[in-house]
Amino acid sequence: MRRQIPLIIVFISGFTMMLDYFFPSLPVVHGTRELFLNWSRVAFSFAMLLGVFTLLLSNLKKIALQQSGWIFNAVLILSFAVTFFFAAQYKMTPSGSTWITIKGTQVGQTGYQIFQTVYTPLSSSIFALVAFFIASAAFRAFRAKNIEAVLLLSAAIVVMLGSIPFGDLLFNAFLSKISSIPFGFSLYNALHLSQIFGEHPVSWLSNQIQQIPMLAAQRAINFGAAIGMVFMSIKILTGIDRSYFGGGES
Amino acid sequence: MFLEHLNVFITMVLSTATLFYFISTSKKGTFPFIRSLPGLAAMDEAIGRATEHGKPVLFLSGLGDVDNIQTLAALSILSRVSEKAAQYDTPLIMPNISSVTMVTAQEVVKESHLRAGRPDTYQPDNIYYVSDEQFAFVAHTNGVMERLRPAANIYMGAFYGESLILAETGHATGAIQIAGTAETSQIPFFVVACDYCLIGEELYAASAYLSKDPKQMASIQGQDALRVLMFAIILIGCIGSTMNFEPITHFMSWFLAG
Amino acid sequence: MIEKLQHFDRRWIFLTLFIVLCLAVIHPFQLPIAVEPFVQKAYNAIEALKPGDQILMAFDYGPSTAPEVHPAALAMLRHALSRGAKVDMFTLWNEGYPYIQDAIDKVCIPMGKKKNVDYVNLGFKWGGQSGAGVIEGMGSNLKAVFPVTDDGTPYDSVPALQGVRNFHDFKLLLSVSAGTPGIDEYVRYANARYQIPIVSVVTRVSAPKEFPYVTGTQIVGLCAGLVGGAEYEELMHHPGAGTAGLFALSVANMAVIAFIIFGNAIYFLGKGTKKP
Repeated sequence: MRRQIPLIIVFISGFTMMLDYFFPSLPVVHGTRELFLNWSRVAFSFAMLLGVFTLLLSNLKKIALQQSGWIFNAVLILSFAVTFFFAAQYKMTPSGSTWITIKGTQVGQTGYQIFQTVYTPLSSSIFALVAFFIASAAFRAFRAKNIEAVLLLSAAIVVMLGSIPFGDLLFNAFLSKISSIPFGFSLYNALHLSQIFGEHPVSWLSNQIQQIPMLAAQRAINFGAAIGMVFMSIKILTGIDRSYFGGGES
Repeated sequence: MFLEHLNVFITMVLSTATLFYFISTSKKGTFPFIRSLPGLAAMDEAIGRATEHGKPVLFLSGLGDVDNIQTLAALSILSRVSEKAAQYDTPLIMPNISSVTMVTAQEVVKESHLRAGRPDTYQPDNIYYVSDEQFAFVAHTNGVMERLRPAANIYMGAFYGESLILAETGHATGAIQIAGTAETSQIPFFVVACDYCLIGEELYAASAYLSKDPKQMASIQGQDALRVLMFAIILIGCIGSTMNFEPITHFMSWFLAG
Repeated sequence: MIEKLQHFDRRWIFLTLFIVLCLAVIHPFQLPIAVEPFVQKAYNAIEALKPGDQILMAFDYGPSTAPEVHPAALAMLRHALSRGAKVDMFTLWNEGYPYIQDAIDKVCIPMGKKKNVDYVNLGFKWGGQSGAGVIEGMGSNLKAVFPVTDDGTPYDSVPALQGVRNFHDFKLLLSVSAGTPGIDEYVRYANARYQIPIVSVVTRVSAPKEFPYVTGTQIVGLCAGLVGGAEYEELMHHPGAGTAGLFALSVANMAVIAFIIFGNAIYFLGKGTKKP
């Protein structure tokens, strides 16, 4: 029975959502769907509470047992307490209705200041690391070891140059150099390539790479992933795949 | 209203029918052939390597919650990975970005230890919740990689901007890395920085592949069959549109409408 | 020497990139901006708005990606308000909340727009990682999802929301997103079911993932990253943070290309000097 109840819940709720997609004007179906959506919003909100309690318990346990690095756990608890105290200030709405407005996170309040001065720079800094890691990964991994790698490298450089104004600037500067060579002959103009590529040839080429071969590959991957998602969903709805709740074999 | 979505209903019926048809053929004993996926074949090697070095295995189920299908696929893979780790008596560390995923993962790993006959080695503290915030989670996980130096890092699920941070840090610590995601924007980062990478639907096929369960394997066959059918429809549609054959263009417009 | 370069410490790359970026930020130059077709389509979609049209604007990003997408968000908000549209702002990300306020401070108030008349701040609504429940809820009954605005004003007391019930009452959904829940969820749950047109701002790395939707009919215009923001500001003739950051971004791209060339040079030199 312990394994059957979750399967029944999954099937009923999933089937209701599906029915509502096809018959949204049926009051029973639509009403049940709205009920399930409300329950899911409430459940997700309580899931945050679960996370907070779990976090506090595990950190308090490490502090109590004085495990290695327990000072950092204490800093976490203290940060949580201070932020919660300031951010959880609330007020009743002026009309005296039952709605409560959390004012601690509004502009100008201390809770908001903590978010802006502590969390925002920290989050931005961690994400900024991606730029440096991209540079080191590009240095390490983009080697022209074979034909495919050369093609990949060429496309990558064209797309990178096409994404920024420098690409067209450099190419146009290069063209103007060619046109000043002694014979005064510009292959680019002779082949009327300027009429095809326009004033921004590198951007144009970059767009063509992104919108033709890359888009085709993107669609193929999306399509395959979508079919995989459909089958995974059917397996979960029908109880064939139960490993997500430790159910083991079907 | 139902008629407006008739095309979706037909596709849904086709998918379900295909799945159940192949499952019924699998019951007759025909074991379907699935080509080997290098990333999955390397899982055993990765766990074995961690056992030899006496280091833990780090498993991340991505940044999605349990309502994300990629997270469910990752938890299915976790079931197999944790069973193997339990057999080898290798610790499995799993930080989580969501408390609900943490609870689900704890159940999955506990069941795996039971199946492996090692219920005594199950450590619930190894599967824990970190934070709902993306970069707080990433900063913690990077710290875990630097301090504990896991010998194998397995990234399965929905990853976003932090994928390269995780993969590069893992590479710097010398771990063998296996990744799998259906997030197309992050696949290039994993391909570059990890040793093995599952792309797109290979993530969804992975749990079936690892389980060796005939029903699960049959579902992959069903996926491929539906893909071939869709390919045929697209091809007919392309030819019909090119030749401006109206019945086909009308059918395609109707079939592909949202 | 070649062997030393082959075991190059990556921290030199980090230091070089840091120095180069610092110089670019301290001494920026104005660069010519070419507008991409998808950005032009986004501009045209907002240009087609008429006075009184309702649009929804989602600020689904946080501090980490705000430098990339916030400039385009401000430019589009300015454009929409200048067309006389009423903008209802909300977010499914708790981190996105301050950016709604920032947009109000930097765009709505200087333009003299009135709160709850010309623009509405619906605030933050938690819907789990996929946001499916909230988006589906908004599609059928906006009031059920946002019974009060961010400052506690009841839904029925907001002049801008009179007669607005669900997605069918909006001309456009302007999605500024940097992850999940974001543009994919709006395409899946809002556009697929309720056919609301979507204009999107995404990070540059996510843009290729959305191209199939732009060439289809789900997304009518797309701005990608800081460059997209700069291009939109160019179309608006109102330079802002996007234009200001374009030089540093360009320099960073050139630096990465230089590292790739350097890495390949080391690789080929190393191959040439391999001992038998």
